[in-house]
Amino acid sequence: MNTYQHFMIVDDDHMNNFICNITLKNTYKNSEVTAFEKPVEALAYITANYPRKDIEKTTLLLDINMPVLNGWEFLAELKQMNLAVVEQFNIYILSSSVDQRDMDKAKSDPYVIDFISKPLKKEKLMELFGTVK
Amino acid sequence: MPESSDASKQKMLDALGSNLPGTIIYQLVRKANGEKRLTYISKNIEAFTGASVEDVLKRPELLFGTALEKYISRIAEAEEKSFHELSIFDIEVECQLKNDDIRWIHIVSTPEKQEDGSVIWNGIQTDITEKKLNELKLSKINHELTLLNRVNDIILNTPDEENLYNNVCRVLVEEGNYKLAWICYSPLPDDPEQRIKPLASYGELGYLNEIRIDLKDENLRKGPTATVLLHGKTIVTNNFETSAAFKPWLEKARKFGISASIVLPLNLHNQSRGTINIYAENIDAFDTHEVSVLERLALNLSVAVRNVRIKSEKDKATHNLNERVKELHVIQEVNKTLQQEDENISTLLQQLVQIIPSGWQHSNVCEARIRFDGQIYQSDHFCESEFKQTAIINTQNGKAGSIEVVYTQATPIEDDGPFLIEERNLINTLAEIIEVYFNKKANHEALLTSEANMKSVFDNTEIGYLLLDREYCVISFNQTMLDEYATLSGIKLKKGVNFLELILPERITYVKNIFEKVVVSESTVEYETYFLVNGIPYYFTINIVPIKRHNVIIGFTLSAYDITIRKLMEMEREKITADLLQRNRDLEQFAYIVSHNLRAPLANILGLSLLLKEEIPDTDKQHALKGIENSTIRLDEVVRDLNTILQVRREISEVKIRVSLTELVSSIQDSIFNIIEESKTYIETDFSAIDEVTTIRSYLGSIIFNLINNSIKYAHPGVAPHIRIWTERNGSNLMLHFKDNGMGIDLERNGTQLFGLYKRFHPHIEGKGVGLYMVKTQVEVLGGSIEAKSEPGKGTEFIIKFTI
Repeated sequence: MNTYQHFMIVDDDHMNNFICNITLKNTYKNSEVTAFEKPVEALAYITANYPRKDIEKTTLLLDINMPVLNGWEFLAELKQMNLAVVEQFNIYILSSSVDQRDMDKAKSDPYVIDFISKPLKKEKLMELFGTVK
Repeated sequence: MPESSDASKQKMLDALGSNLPGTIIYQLVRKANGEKRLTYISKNIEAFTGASVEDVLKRPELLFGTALEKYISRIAEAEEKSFHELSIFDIEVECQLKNDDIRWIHIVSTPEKQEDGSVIWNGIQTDITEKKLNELKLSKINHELTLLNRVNDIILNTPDEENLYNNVCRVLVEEGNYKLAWICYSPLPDDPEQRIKPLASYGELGYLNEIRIDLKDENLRKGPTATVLLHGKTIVTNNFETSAAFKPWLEKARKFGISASIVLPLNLHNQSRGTINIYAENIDAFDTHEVSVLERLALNLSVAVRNVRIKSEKDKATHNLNERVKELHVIQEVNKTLQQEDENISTLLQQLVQIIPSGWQHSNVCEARIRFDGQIYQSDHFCESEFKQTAIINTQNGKAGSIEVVYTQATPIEDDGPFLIEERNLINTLAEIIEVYFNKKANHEALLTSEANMKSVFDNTEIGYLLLDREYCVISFNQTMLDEYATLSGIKLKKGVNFLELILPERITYVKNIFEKVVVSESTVEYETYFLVNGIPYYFTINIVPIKRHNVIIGFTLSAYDITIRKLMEMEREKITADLLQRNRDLEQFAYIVSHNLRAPLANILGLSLLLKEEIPDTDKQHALKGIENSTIRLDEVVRDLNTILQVRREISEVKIRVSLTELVSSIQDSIFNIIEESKTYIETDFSAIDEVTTIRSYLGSIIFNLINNSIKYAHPGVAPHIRIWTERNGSNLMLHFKDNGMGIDLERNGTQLFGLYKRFHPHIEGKGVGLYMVKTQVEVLGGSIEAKSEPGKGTEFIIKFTI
């Protein structure tokens, strides 16, 4: 199973999650997509299920601007977890922001691999994770 | 008388007379015609006279024949008297015995008148030499002691040296039976003559006038007086004839019948020495006892002279002291007189001439005159006199004059004519005092002018000054301090009052602390303060400067500088800066809004559009289309919000009017009647404290609407919202309280973002995060501020503060 075939989306905007779900599944036929509109629920899910033995890696697409717990706060919570859990995630920031400061902040975080500007596009996925196997 | 009885009587008498030691018995008969016959004489006569009994019987004159010549006539006189008056013949005579011894003989005999007119004396002669000598000695001692006493009396009763010496000399000659007495001192070392001159003398002055004692002369300085002056020890010359040292004066001594002398030293104080010289008629006049008595006398005299001298010096010192006191007193009086501020010059100078004479030694005949600036002032009895002292008065501004002091009568000669040298100093000092007075007066007038100038500068400066002493007592202040600082701060400035007691009670501690800081740091402390007068603030910079003398703080200068204009400009600038910062923040927020809130729906529209190009199931297509629509609507809302927000920030065009809160809240309730009804919201109001406010009606309405809406939106699920709105007056502020029973919010976590645009804290509730942002913006535009108190689950209270 390829790493990029298991995705987790955390974003309060359900329309974005809808776009991501379809785009991911269209790009990677066998991919598994789990989406959370509430970051707290995502954390609970991770705590309950990770580290997972059935998959090697989960690609996390994380929004920044969310009520209650924003993307950075979510990330901070995640980093508190077992190292084995943290290491099972390839973390990407997925944001509508066009603010350079958000991009710089994302890139300066050692756990964040890259910053993806919304909307999530097939071309960008292929650029990041390669073509369909 | 029968022969036989005569013979037996003779025998008896002989036995008696011979056996009475040192005694002769005799019987002498003198006939009326003067013929004398010895009828009996005892044998002892031989031992007395050397003549035999028979010889004496034959020559009765021998009975008293050994008596010294000087007694012969007295014996004869005594015999005559006894013969005629039949009185007891009683005489004491000195007799020269055959061995040349001189003996004192006491002769006593009783006369017995016979019928034939003759007188018979039965007499007895007794050798009383021992008794007589003792008597004489006693008498001499007595006499000497009497002399000593007399001299002591003189010493005690004569207050001055000269009289003392004269009296002592007189007593020595008159009562001591000496020929001459005189007193001299050693010539002073710087006296070129070095001749001895008598200070006092009495007695045979002819001798003294003719002799010469000269310490420079080889021979004339060897005599007793010169020697005693040199060596200080008594010299007795009991016989000039045999004295080699006395030889130069022997001839004169003979001429004046002087044979012996004693020269006694007078040891006076200050090492000076004198002698007392006493001359006697007879040689050997000065025996040991007499010498010791006279030495005693000389010693007493020395002590007396020393005392007299000390006393006279003391008297002189006392007199001088009294004079100095008088002089000082006059100086003091003159100074005192010149210190009178209200008197004019003429009055002052007239007072001075009355005072000045009292400083002079002979103040009873002393008068004074002052000439000054063409005028003359003089004491009551002033008249011209040859006894005059003058001092010149010269003042800096060219005015001149003089002080004259006169004695109207002649007085004893002193250092400076009739005046003491100190009186010369005194008159000069007085002239100086008067000069100084006029110079000072001129300076003072100049100073007053310059002080007046300074004061006018001082009073017209923008800075208020206040001078305090170390105990914070007000010494002085300028007009500015009085008019501005004191008036505005409500302090009633008054000289002599403790400044701390003048300050408003609420400021005392603060000001006290500042003064303490000044004292501790010994340096200036600056602070700013302000006063509200009728609601208008006045700002001052206060400087408290310690005044030091010899490194000790003796007071403070407090300066107050009105910085109100500067301060207002500063505040204006601060406000502009704050506004600019706010604008800047707004811009940043706008950039954020653009980047997130504006772009989020845009990104969705983009994404969904792309999806529609893909091969996706129809349902998803429908979903995507619906999503595009929703996102477009959201985009539109954000654009509208931005417009609203930007409009609020724009300049206010609407006019402020009086608005009743009761009426305003009521009209809002009406406009959202449906929502209130649906949510079963209960709104409770209390505007009894303040109901009417001057404000922009639409803004205040929008604020209240948003807050009510917020409370309903974030109510506890299942709990009907209960909103309380009330006003409170807090000084010059209106506090508008807004309290609900809703979910509350964790301010510790979200406090800073509570009023941020597009900040949402309750994800399950629909909301864009615009409401509270709008509330805050509008409150600020109305010049107020808003804060929130809340805890999760315990409701929220918003407090809006407006300045009335």
